[in-house]
Amino acid sequence: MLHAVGSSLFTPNPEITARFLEDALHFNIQYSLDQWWADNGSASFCLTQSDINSDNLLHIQSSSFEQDCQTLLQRDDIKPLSEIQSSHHILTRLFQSDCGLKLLIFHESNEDERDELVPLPMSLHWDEQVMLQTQRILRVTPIPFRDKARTDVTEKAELKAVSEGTLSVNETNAMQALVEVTPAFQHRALFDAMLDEGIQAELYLNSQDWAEETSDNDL
Amino acid sequence: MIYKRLLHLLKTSWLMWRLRKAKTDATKEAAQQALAAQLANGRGLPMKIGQILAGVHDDSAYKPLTHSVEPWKLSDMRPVLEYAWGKDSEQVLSFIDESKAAASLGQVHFAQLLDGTPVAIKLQYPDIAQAIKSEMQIAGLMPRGGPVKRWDFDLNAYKSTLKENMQHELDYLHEMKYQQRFKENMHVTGLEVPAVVADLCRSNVLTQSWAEGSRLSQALTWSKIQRLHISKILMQTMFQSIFETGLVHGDPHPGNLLFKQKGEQATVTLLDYGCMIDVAEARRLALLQLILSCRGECPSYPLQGFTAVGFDEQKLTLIADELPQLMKILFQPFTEDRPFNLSQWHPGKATESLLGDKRWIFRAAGPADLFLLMRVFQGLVQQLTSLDTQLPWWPILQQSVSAEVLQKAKETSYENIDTNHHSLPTSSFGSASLLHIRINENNSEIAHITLPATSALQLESLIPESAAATIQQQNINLRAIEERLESEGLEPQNLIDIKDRKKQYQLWLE
Repeated sequence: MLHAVGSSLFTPNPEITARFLEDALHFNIQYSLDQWWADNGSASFCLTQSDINSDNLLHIQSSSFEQDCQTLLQRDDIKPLSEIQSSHHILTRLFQSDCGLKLLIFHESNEDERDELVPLPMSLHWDEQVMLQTQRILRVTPIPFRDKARTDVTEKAELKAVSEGTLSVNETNAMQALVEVTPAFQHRALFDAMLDEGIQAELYLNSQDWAEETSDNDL
Repeated sequence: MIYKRLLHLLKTSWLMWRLRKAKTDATKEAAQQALAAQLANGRGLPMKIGQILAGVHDDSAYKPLTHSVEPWKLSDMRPVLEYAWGKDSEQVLSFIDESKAAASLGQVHFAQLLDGTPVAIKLQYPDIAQAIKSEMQIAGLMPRGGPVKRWDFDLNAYKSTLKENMQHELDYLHEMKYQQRFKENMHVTGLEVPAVVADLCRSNVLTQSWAEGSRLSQALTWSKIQRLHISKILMQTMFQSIFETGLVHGDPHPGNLLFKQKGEQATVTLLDYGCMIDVAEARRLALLQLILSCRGECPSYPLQGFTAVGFDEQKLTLIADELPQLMKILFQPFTEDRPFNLSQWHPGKATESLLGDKRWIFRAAGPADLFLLMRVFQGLVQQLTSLDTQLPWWPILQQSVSAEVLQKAKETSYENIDTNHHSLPTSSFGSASLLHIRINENNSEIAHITLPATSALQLESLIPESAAATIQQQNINLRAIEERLESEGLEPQNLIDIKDRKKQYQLWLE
């Protein structure tokens, strides 16, 4: 069975390039079988000596785009090749390293960074205000879990509405669903988010629960 | 007065005789259309068998036959009405319009009673009953006598069910009684059932309050909330019918539904009660218990439960190990506590994947009348999919059925069933697994069906009537072939390859 393990980067000085990858981009490097190798778990390169000017371009994902770009700019062996560019919610900036590598730093902005309210996957009719409130309150959920939370809250709210004999989701259905889906340790944040939306949060959550928790922790 | 009545009777009798003579072909066409409608709306293997026996390819071949038949003129049908009522129609109606649409086996006229009540009068075509019988004979759909082979489909039972169905449809008094019962017993908000005018109903005349509304195609364009209301009404009607009242409308296709907008909500009017299915309490409770057990609300007895629904116990024991998983597939809409997306539900494929070749055993184990219920269920699924709505099924079922019935279903118990027969007898069966039946016309294939190989042991019931004469002419002894297969086993081979003027019939084991 064949299994690709990496690709070659052609560079005039493989060792310098390896050290750069280790220092600037946190690659693990090793010298083995007369070759320099660099690996970071996602990408793996065999650094191959070549005097021909190869146009090596590394695509590098950044979680903190501005900070990461600043960090790179502070290095003496890196120069910017472009300004920050934005297209289809993706920020990019191109850099050149002295060891011959071009670096394309990119970041895809998330729904919060775009200030976007992602629609709920609704099957029933929702009161419009309740729908918007639910979408905004769901922002207490961290982004990696938010899609699932959106689906779970919507389904639960709709199940509650139908169980009550109606086909339209109201505030009570939505808030109860939010409480049931949100983990207990986030209930305080949920409570605050409800209040921010003008909802009587105490109808759905008991603030004494975490007040007691806080005093337990103090003890 | 007596002379007047006698004169009237003589006059209408003569008009009827004249009508019958003039309308033989038209009556035959109406009978074919009614039969085609039964088969075109059908699904699954029994209907496939019906189609192959009738020598047609698939559902689509019947569709052209279900086009609208031109209604007969009022002047032709008035004698039918007056003969049935035994009086002039002017003594009952202030007017009656020409028919704009044919119904099942007859046609519908808008009329007004003398007191101003608008009514619909359904009039059956004269001699249609005999025409239906003839068409069924030709299509090989009349049941024959004889024992059922152990491991195969009870084909006669399917044919009997179809025949009984047609007979009920032919009796409008039967329809009237069922419509009255349905109206009295069903309590679904938003469901409307037209009221019958009982003293103006006869075996060939049905008179009921006039219903108006839009067709499904129009309702599909309405607001989401209205479509949700319609979907809920359709679901509640089916659940209440099957599990609470035991009286199921057997033909809820779009032609029998009218919809009205009512503010943000909608109503559904259900028409045509000619095909009604009675579901006995024991079966209803068994089916409900299977669903409840899938939800973990009571202990699960899949083998006993399906047997109580009407499945063949001996056949089911062959797949006893797979029944729990099969239940999860079949009852999935009731077990998911969220709006259910029907377009992503493929029970047929999942069942095939689970059972493989043994899916034939499950199909063969099913009771013959189950195909009528399956047709109703599949109709509902199609309508909900067309309406583009998703609703959670379980809470709607709970709202459709009384707490008493749910409790009774949970508490239902069964006799112990011996689960020791777990394998098909293999010594006499051979290596063939499938029987192929193919019909060609003008060198083109018009029908092809595959059945379990063991179906070859009842060739006589599978051969279409249309081929019977050819078989006889060519001195082919079907019984001898069956006996030979029984003694020598079912090995791959050609069994029959015959031609008549129009068609070629091929049967072979693979």
